[in-house]
Amino acid sequence: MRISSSFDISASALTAQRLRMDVVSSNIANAETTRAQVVNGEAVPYRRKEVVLSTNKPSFSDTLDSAMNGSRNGINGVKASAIQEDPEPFKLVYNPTHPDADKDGYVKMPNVDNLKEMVDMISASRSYEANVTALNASKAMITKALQIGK
Amino acid sequence: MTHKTYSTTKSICNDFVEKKGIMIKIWNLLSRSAWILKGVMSMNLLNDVGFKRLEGAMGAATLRQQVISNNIANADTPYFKRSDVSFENMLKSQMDDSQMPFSGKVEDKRHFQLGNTNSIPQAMVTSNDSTVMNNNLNNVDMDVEMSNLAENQLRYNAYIEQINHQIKMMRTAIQGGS
Repeated sequence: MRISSSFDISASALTAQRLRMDVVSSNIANAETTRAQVVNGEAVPYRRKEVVLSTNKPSFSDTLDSAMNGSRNGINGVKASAIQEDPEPFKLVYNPTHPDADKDGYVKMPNVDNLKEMVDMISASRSYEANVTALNASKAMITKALQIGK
Repeated sequence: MTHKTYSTTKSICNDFVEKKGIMIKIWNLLSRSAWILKGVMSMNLLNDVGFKRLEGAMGAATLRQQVISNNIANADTPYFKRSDVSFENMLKSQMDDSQMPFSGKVEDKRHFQLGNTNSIPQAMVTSNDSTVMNNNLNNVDMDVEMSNLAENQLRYNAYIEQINHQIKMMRTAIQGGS
């Protein structure tokens, strides 16, 4: 049991929440992007992306530690295991003057819903704050422990 | 010739007796200082069971801090179930057991420990798999975690204050109150 392992746990969550924030930013920035990538010679609009969070797998040293002491089970923090695309269909908007409009005048717009992004953003922000609080608590504890015997 | 031999022998004997006296003096001194040293060693210099319990409690608080950090870190992880650390209850039940008026003598490791054990329980991490808090089957309640975090911090600070106090008392005793 290292003294800084609660730092590592909180830090892994800070990284994951920051990645969520980045993805939300990317989604909002690309809410109107009709040419995100080219598939079969055809421009495809931007697809909304989501971060998949999962618990961190224990490292070798953690496994060894728990095998020797038998106390620590599955306390390893969090990690963003994937960024996956939202399979929801694109929004069709009637705009005949748009350069990417089809022959009926409809344009495929990204499946980004700004409302969802806002909710996700607040959620990520609050989780980040909670983890900063936990990190500060750990830091205060260790600082206090360094004053034993003074 | 004989006289000379006799006097030589006598002087050697005197010498020996004198040396023996010194040796005995040194031996007495050594044994006395060993006795004093033994007295000092057998004194409970921060080695008593109360201090050991504080140590165990601090270890448990550190582990609990990790577990709460992990719960907060995984507050958005699907299927994650929160964990908890139990130590204080186990220590309390063990201390209640040790209030028995008699204690059993343990001569074999297969014997049951009766009465005053003076051993510190090992902190245990337990996972709560039975409840559901969110749609994603996660059961982390942020309010509960935050209040646990605050409580654990205060507890930890209290343990450290207590340890500091004991060390200060021992220092006062060593320095004779000066």
